[in-house]
Amino acid sequence: MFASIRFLAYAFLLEIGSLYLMISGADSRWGLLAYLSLHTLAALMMARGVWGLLPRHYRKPVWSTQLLLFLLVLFVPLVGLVAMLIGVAIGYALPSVPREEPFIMVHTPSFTPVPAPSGNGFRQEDLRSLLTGADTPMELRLQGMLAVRDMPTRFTGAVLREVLGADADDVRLVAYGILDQKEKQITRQIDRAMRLLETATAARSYRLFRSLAELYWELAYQDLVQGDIRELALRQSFLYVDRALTEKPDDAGMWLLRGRILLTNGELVEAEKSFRFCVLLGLPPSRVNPWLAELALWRGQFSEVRQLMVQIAHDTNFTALSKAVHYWRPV
Amino acid sequence: MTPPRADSADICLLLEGTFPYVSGGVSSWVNQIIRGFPEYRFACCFVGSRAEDYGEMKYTLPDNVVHLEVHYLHQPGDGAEHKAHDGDRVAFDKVDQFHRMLSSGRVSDSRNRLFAELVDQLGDGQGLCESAFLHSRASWDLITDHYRRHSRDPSFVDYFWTVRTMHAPIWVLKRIADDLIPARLYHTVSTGYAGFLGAMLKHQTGRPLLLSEHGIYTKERRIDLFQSEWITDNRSMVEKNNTEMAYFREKWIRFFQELGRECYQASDRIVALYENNRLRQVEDGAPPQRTLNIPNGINLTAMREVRARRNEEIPPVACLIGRVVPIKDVKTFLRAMRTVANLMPEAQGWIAGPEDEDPEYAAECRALIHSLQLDDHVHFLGFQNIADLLPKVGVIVLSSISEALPLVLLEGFAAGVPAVSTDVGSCRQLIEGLDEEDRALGSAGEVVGIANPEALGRAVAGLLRDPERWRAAQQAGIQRAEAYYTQERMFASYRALYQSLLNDGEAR
Amino acid sequence: MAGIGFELRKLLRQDTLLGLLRAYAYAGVIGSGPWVLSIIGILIVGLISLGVVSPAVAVTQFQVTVTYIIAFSLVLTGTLQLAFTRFCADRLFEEREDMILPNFGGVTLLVTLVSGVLALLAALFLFPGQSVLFRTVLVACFVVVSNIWIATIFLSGMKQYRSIVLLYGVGYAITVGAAFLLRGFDLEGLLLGYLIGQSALLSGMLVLILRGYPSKRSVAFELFDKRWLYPSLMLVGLFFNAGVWADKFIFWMDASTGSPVIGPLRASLIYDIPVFLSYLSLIPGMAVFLVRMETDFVEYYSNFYDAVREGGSLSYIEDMRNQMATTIRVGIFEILKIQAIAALLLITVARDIFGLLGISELYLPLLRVQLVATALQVVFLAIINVFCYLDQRRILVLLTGLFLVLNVVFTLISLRLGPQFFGYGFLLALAVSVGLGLWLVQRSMGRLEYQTFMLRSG
Repeated sequence: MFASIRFLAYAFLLEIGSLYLMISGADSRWGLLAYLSLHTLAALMMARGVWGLLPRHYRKPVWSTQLLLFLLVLFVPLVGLVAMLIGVAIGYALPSVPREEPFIMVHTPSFTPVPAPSGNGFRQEDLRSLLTGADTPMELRLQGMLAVRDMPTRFTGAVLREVLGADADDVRLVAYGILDQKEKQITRQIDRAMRLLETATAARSYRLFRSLAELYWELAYQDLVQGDIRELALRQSFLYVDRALTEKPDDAGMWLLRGRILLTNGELVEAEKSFRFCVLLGLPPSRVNPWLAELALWRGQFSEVRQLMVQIAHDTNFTALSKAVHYWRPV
Repeated sequence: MTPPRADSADICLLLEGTFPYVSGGVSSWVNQIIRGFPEYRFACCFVGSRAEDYGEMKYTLPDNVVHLEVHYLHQPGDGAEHKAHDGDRVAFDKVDQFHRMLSSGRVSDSRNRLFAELVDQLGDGQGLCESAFLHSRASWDLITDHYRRHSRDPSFVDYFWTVRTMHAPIWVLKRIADDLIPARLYHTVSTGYAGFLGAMLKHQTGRPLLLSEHGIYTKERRIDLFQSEWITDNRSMVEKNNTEMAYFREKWIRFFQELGRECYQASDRIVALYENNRLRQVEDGAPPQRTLNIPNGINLTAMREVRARRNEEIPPVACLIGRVVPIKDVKTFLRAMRTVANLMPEAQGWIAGPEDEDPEYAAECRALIHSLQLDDHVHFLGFQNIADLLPKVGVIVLSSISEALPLVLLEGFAAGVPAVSTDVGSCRQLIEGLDEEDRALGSAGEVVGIANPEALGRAVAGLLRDPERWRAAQQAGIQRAEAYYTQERMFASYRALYQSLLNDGEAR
Repeated sequence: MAGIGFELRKLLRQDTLLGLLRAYAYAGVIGSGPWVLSIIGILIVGLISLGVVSPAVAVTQFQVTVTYIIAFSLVLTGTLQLAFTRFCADRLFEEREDMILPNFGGVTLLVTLVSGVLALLAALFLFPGQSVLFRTVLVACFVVVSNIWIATIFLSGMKQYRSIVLLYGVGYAITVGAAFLLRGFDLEGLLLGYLIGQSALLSGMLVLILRGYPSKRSVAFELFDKRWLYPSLMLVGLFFNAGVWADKFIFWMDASTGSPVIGPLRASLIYDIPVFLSYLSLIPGMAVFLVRMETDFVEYYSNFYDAVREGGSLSYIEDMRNQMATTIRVGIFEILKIQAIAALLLITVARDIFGLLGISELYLPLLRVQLVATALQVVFLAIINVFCYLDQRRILVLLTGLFLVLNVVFTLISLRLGPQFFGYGFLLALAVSVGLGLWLVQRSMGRLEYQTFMLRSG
């Protein structure tokens, strides 16, 4: 900074000298040359001086930036320097301008008609018999598979696995692909969470435990794994639920998940404890009661089921459960 | 190493993405066939996708391969600007006519004649040359007309590039066909682009064409395309019909179907590995009278030596032999090993095969081992010499979701190792037998459904834990391999085929 | 000039007559800004110094010097104008904005070096009779004005139209003010005033640029990388600017029409005044051109290419193509209409203006010719613009090259034919180029999709 100002001061002196030469000196070629050499020297020092005053990120690349400054003050004597210094000063003084407008123009959407019409794909038929029936034409079965692809495997898992045994390779492999892809999505998330867990802080590992518990549960719940692997997934889920609860014992969501895992394993007493604890922690009846009701159903306590379902009806007016609630409503 | 060059050959093999640059079942089979016929001089014409997709040769070329040429279908554009020109309207009208025949779905003599006529015009400077396809007004009019008539997807740019990318290899193949050294017989080991090249060669030279199909190319492509993420459906939410395939997907599938159909129509003989595949070929347009089955065969003498190196006890080792790729469904094998390990804690699972083809999948498998807590039970061995490996194996496991007629099962049988396999390709035929006589030999293991780790695991454990059943399966395997699946039988069938086709070719 | 459309559309959307007028006024100033302001500025400086500056010829000397500075700097930087605009637009499209500022620095460095050295050589050897101060200021002016063109391109590339207009206004106000204050120092004073004003304009632009587009580097030369440089666009810029000035230069140099003013600089009184007056009529035409081109045309244009790139249906693509063609047709028709009105107006008042300025009425016929030529020049600019958008560089080179050659040839012929043909050279050159251009536009639009899909490299 000070070095730059010193450079500028000397440069000014030199420049004034050169200007004096220019105005007073005879219009001879020698006078011109003397002026030019003095001015060039001044320009060199000015370039160095102004360069030192530039904001840091404008100083690179070192040589060509200084060359640019040098050329400008060389060819535009004094005026160039003054304009430049004023420019730098203004540049520092003004607040920075926002570069991007927060809004952009979007085009109005247009409807583009499809050149060739597509056939009517509506069909009323039992999906299972459509997919597994050996006498259904191949194209139709593949079409069915396309429809199934976008449905949750919780509902389609069984059918898809049945199709895995189909005689036609095409259908079979597509079914495999659907199951595999969904399973892979979850497994990848599990792998990522596991890797993150290795280096995670305490606060972060709580969140990771939580999501691992949910992911493992999802594997089982979405019917993506069977048998030993399913048991393993449930076990893992339970393990991570416990770890999450060790970190944060009042996590009602984890208690609920814990209860559901236990319920799946048939450990009704433990499951009920978990669910009751959820209620204590303040989870609304609409979230807990269905599971308590299922528990009661397993035990054959139907009046208990009704009571629980009625509570849901008070609690909310629209859930996926409304049909079940309606069923249990006292007449 | 510079590839061998010759002016002519007896048999020219048309190889798409296989021998000698890719290892695998088909490549090994090609290797086997070439070595089995030292009396013929072979030329190999390798057709790949892009140069960077392939590494070094995976096989040493047999001495009777006198000629090898390597071509790639997908080449970058030349980047130049092009002049507008009208193009040959008449020729493109013929193309239009041909496509109408394609969409009618029937094969006929007139279609075959038209096809031959079109192929003749593909050369440089002719009506249907590459530059005419890429840049002429006539071609543009045809493409836009077809788009208007058929496209269910609004995106014209996707339609346009789908058409281009799809057809571009045809001219590459045409150039290959023009420059290929003369041969007395063309033998393609798949349909697809190589098969189409065969069809072009047949029309151009009049030489006989033989097709041997291991998997069914069209079907495999169809499955690939069905699951591919890169083909999108550009219709908006309201226009979309979930039960309908994305139009471009369908277009690709149909394209490969037609490539296959042309190859089937042009082939003099069409060989499948087993009956189901033959039926599939007929369904896809192969004239039934030209089809036949020739199963794979193994080198019995070598395998007998391996068998001799076994000792009496049954090693508690289940081994999957194959590349670590999704189609082998290694993950199901791993999950099955969880069940096996639960049932017999001393059991080991081995995976013998290269992992470099799909590193991402291999990494997923390793992660799965860890999360299944199988680190002590499962080991990746990398590529293994089968003669050293098989004596240490208790049961060969095949968890593939698709196979044709896997040689590893046969080699395992001959070496005295029973197998548990998924019910794919001809696996049931290999393990349980084909006809009455064959079935009488007994079961050489067990067949389970695909992607069913529980059943697979139980079957493996069941076999390993029941020495009596195991020995019965071992004997059934040995007898079946020796009776039906010997190399000699396969060579004899091909010898007869080669001789008759070569004679036919001379007679023409 | 992509991007002005947004501002204009905001104004047009107000849907009032005032809004519409403002939009056109705005477009007029932007489109013709540099030209018109320069002419007006020089004229005003001339007017205010009449009678003060001695000798009186110094005023003419000043005006001619500045005209030469503008002409030569435009031709010199013309080689980089379009190439640099294209570079900015491409990088913006790729969202690599950070590359633009350093390359602006690189272009500035190059332009400063070349213009400075050329001007220095000229000052050293061509003006032996002039003072050192005059020569120094001459060099400085040339460097500054050259850089102003580059900065203007950068800012228009960055869609900073409002700032350009504002800065030009302030810059020329300072120019006039400084010249007014310094007119006591005669020619040198006027020129120094011009330098101060232009320097203020340039530094204002630089401040705006540097502050608005921070970068980690100040200077880079990636613009000249083979991947990103279009030599054909350099030719187009050079041809167009040289073409616009060719007839003037010939008239200056010809012994019968030009006379020496200062050093080697010559002027042609009979040609210059009608020419510069007629350029004032450019304003309404440019306004219409900008409004049509930058709002309607660009909208259809971007719809067209968005549909091409992002999967529109063919019918939509064709529809957009047709809309583009219609806009061009309507736009050109409107330009001609408005130019005709402006020309008629100017012709009616020309006699009075000439009287006021003390110019002989002998110039009137030439003014009429020039007014028609100016109208065609706006149309020609519109055509060039269309082909820039369509990226048909070969046609651009052909059109501008033809324009340059024809202007030289026809102007030379008109000189031989005598005074009643003066101006027809320029007019005819433009007429032929515009005619060919319109035919090419029609042909290109007719096969736009075919060309876009089938003839581009894939």
